[in-house]
Amino acid sequence: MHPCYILHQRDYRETSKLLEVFSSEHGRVSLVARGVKRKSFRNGHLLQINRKLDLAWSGRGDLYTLINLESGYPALEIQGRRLLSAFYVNELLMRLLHRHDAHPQLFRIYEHTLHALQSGENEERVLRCFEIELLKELGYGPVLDHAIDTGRKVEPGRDYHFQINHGPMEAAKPGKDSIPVAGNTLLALARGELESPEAIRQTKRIMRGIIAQHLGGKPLASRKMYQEYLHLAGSE
Amino acid sequence: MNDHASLIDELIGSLRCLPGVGRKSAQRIAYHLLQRDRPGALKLAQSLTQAMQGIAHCRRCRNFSEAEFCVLCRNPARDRGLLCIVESPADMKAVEEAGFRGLYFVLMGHLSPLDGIGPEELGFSNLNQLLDEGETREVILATNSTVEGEATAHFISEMVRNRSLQVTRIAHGVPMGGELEYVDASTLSHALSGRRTLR
Repeated sequence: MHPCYILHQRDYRETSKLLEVFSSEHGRVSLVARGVKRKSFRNGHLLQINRKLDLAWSGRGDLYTLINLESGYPALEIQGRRLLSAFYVNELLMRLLHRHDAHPQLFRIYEHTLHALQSGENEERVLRCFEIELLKELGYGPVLDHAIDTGRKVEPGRDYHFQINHGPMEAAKPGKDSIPVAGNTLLALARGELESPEAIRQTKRIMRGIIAQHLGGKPLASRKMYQEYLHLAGSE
Repeated sequence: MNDHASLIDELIGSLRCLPGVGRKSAQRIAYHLLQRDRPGALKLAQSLTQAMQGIAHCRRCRNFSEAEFCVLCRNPARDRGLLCIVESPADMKAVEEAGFRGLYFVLMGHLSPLDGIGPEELGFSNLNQLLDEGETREVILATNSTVEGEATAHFISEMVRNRSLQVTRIAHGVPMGGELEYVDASTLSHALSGRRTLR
């Protein structure tokens, strides 16, 4: 049995489901869960996204068959619009993780992120911290501690221009890939301790730029949905 | 002879579009119909054609309907102030059997961004139009008690927040005849938080 979270699921045939799972030991795995929607299947209701489960599977290739599931963990209750953020986090993992690449550290970060979304911590900060940790874990972490044009250490009181493909620069280089950012933000980001609203806002633009680079042009569906949500709810 | 064989193959192939029917079952059904029940099969073929050509979605509630507005939406005896929002026609049937006498709105799914199902696919703009008619007093969110169902319910509740409507969510709790010992912890915690005062 492996501790897992279901990132995404969809109905398959009459009584089965297809699951995209993030497991602590095996990374992202695709499973078919046969017959779990039958009334006679006792634990089918446990197969919910964002719920920690112990799963066992068998088989070969890219699609395994679920053979056992248990839930020895308390269920998370992420509420309201934070559910949409959870969709976003799940989509990032679905899009950026390769199947079968183990990321035990990222599993812990993901778990921490879901708990933070549940507990009512600042949603923006939770998401930005997840993004930077995800990028670092995948080897896409940006340079944050020195300016790439001069090689000098980043200073707290100084303003920089962040080049999406490269890192912070002291000299301005106009273009849409250049994002103004404070030295303070870069240092906070390096420590993983985003506090001020300004740092969170600047980080959002940087993260969005870097993540877009790795998504291959296809936009994130959950972000689009979140924007529609904000539009419909009229809160922004 | 060749034509004959290809007609059977075509029939078997077509039958496989039925849910839960694979190659073997399709073959069995085809031979059964040819050998033992040709009138029944012809009637089935006719019903299928008529249904596929004649059934569309109700303009009001999005459920399947032969007419522009379905029988339920046209029924003057229904309470037009109550609007129950469900995920599927099967869910609607279940609520109907539970004795609900208001009207429905059928989403035909739930929010699932990774499958490309968002507010547009679920007909949220139709829902807004329906609410613009002004008959509704209360919106009852009866989406499934899953993460996707909760997200859908929340999305709708935000969308209609600025209207002077009562918005309710169906209760989650212990099933009838259920013994607490066998109810899972999260259901029980919902049942506890949604408890009612008895006087």
